[in-house]
Amino acid sequence: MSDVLLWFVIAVALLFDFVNGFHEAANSIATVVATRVLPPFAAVVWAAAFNFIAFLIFGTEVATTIANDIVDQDVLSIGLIFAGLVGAIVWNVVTAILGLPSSSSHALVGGMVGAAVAKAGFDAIVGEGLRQIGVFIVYSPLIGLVLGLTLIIIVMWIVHRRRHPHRVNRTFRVLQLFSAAAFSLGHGANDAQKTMGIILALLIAEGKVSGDVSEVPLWVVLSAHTAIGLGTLFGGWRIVRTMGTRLTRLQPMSGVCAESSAAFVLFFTSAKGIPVSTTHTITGAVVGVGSASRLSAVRWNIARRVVWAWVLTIPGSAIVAGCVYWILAVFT
Amino acid sequence: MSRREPRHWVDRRAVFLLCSALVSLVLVPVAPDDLEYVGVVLAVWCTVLAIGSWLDKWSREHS
Repeated sequence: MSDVLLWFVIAVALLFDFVNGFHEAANSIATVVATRVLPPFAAVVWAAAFNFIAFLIFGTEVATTIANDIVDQDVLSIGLIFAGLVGAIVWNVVTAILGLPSSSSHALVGGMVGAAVAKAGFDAIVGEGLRQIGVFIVYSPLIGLVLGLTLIIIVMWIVHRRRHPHRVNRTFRVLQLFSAAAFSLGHGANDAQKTMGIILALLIAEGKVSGDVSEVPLWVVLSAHTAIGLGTLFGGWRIVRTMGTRLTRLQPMSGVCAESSAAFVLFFTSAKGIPVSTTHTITGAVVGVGSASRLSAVRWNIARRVVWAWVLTIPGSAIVAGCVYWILAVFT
Repeated sequence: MSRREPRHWVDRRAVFLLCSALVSLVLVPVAPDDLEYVGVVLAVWCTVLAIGSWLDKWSREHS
């Protein structure tokens, strides 16, 4: 029975990963599709492929942070992790209905925290890991913002010295392929690892792997990357009009700068083992690039909603997950 | 006919960047020891961009 439950919760975690790819595919391909560098299907396949191969380049530091540095390992159980996942999924659905650009990554962290507190109180939380995540909730979009702004200033300075705008435009249309690929790599690396971390936590809770493990089993790595890649493949079809066009109107040049900046932040945080929101990171970069012309070029009402999502997601998903855990505890 | 941007006496972009620098600095003591430099670098970077933004506005208004 325990094994059936374990595989069921692993399936839910992979579904969460699939939905993550489904929702966030547009972040990688919006500008490529909007500027007609690639047709939608080719762009989606391009992003999904780079989501998948991220495991060849990045380690599993983010996964070990999720498994070891949020909740005390002695408290971990299938019920707790299931409640955390349900909390995150419910929060994502509710915010999607309300139109809040919530981060599934933060919802996952909040869900784990809420379920752990419901089970064993605040002592079950690993303060150090949570502090790192909390600080980078703010830092990752800010780094994206200043990098995006700096990069666009440098690029505009170089471009304005050239006298062939058509050639410049063509160059940036090609460069977009690489920046979209880099962002998809970063997305695959950081977000797929969160699911790996959840599955690793499940395996630790069930004694299938030892608690001090630093290497994630290969089947976990491959299944997480496959799930997010498939999510991107299916989701990108439907969602093309997103941050790239909603937050501020991006041209090939600004698209390259925003995606490259966000990709850098995701590479850095993945290497350091810090789970961050890919949506908030690309949002920061898009705001930075947009504010190069003038601050009013940024649609601040959407940026304000992102900030509200920052503030509300972790406590919101924690409360939902805590309630789910208590309900489960009553019936089991 | 194009709509004219309202004239602002303060460079709002510079203020925004300075606020970002302040937030980055405030978070430095909370950051893990091995990542404290991120907040410091970010604060300095935001300040430099804020100064650049203000100089840009000043030069446009005085040219």
